[in-house]
Amino acid sequence: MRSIKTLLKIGIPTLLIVIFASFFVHFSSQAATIAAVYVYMNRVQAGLSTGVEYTIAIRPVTAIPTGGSVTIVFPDAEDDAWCTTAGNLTATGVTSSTADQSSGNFKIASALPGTLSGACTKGSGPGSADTITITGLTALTANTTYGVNIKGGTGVLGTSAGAGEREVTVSVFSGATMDSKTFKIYLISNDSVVVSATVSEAPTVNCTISANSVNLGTLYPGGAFAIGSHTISTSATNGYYWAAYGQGDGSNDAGLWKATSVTKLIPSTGSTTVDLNPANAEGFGMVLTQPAGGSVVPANFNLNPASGVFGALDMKLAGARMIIYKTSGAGSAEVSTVTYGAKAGTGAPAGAYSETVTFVCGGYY
Amino acid sequence: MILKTLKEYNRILLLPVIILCLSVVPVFAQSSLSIGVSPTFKTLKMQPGETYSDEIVFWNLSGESDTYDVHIKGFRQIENQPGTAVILTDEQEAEALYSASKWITVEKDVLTLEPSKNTKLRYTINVPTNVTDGEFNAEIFLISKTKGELEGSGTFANLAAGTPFLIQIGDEFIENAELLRFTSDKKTYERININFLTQLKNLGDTHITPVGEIVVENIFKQEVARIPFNRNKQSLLRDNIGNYTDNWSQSGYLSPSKVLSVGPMKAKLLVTYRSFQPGFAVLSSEASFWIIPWKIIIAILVILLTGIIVVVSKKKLQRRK
Repeated sequence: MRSIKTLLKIGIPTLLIVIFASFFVHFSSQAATIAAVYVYMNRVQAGLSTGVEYTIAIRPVTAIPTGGSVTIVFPDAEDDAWCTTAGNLTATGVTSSTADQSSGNFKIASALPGTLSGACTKGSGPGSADTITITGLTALTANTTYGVNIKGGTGVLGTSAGAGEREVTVSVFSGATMDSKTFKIYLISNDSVVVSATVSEAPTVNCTISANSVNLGTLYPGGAFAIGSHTISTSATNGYYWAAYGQGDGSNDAGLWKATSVTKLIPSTGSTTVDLNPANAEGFGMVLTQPAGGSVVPANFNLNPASGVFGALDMKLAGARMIIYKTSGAGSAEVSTVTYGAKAGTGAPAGAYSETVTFVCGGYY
Repeated sequence: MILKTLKEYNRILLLPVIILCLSVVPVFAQSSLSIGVSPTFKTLKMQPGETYSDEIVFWNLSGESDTYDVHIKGFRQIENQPGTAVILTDEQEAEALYSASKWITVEKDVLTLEPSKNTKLRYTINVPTNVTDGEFNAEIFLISKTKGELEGSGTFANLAAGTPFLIQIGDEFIENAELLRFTSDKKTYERININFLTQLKNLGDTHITPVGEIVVENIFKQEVARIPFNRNKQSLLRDNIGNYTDNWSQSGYLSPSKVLSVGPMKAKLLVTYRSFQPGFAVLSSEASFWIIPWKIIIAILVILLTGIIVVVSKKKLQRRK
């Protein structure tokens, strides 16, 4: 009973003194949560022993006085994994990073100021974790996002083994002023994708016609010849050739054919060329330009369309004629302009005429 | 009141609308055609009863899809152009003794080539068991379907491409060829840009791929150039004639080995064409031509003449003095 009295005599005053005194004690520490922070790692693969690089964006909510530091503390149970070798790091303030958002808190606004120096220290058992420390900061303004890039030499910065989440704590502090945030990063078992392809040994050819129809406009019986054009372009590994043939009326010759009554063929007469200059001339043909680089247009098709003389086409597959070729490879597309010329004779009945020219393109065997 | 106003507006708006509608002329939208193919040829050695299957890849680099009809026919060479192929007409096909078109089947008769996409066409070659030895050919050939209409007169363009097959049945073939012509395209040249024209005839029962060299020598029998013949290895089908053009061009009149390439020149062609022991059947021929840099010669003559005139004039003046 006496001991209880003694306890109350000592305990109650002590308690009262503590409660009373607590009103006068002032904690000088100002710990707050960082407004925004991200850690952008160049590699997120687990089990790396070297080559990891960090870019950190950090936005303190309180102003940090000059002389401050930034730390990244890795999981306590993973000593030696994040700091493979303890030593100095290169810390450089950066004004942007790949992980930046277009605007807002997660966009670096300013490089981390100061004469920065970095170091990586290894943890040693429970209560001591691998830590990256950046020192030499000058004053930081509250609510400004600062950026810093951290690199280590060969075999300095790594990652711990095993894919999965890891908890890291990023802090910025100077004296008693400290902002910090703990969050998780995710490591994956393999962060690289190997893209492989094989270029075929087989020869190839690419053939293009710029337009599948050409309007020659109105042909006036006995009038001047009309022209229209499109281009053909080719690239090939081992040379190329183009041949062409028409359909005409399907039985006599190639040329512009009026299939409706009264039927009429404006033929592509002649074994080589069709001259549309004479007053009473009537016919259809085509010419090609010879692109630079060694392509060859046979003489009967290698004509100026303004001359009024055009290469004669023949009919159907059996009448396929070579119009351009090249006996060596064409790495880039070689373009030739195909110009059709047609002239209607005085006796040509009015109506729509057309010809379908089939262009055969190939690579040499 | 409102109805009256609307009627007034109707009168104002109706006439232009009618005019616009009448003025619309249907215009055919042009579109491009594009086809790529790989491989561009296939040479096979097969035995009676054997089956072979593979695929040809086609692609379309234009912005819109195109539809092609798939044809399988024997093929022929174009106009003495070795290494070229155009499928036979139905009439020619019926008479073709060495067409392998009936041996080949494909999985599709019509192929749509989507833009920027590879389209594979699988084929199977079944060699009949009772076929005789020899070289057969066929081509899997795509021809675009004509599309659209045309206002007035004009032309439509179709695009065609394919893969020719040369199929050798058996092991023994006669490889024989004749050199019909070897010449330069001109007799005199001012600059060194010379085309050598060679014409060969295949007399054997299989295709040949002639290779060789053209050796050019000057008047002192010094070698000034050695040009590969048929650099692109264009093959010549049997019973066909092939024209080959090989170019020799050089910027100056000195060869890389500093030999003068001016004056009368001689070119010697050496061609082999056999796949087995090619050295036992060499075709050779010679052609001669001149390289005359006449502009340079005239310039030198003018300078010499001017010099002579100046010297003579000076001497005359000195004599007068």
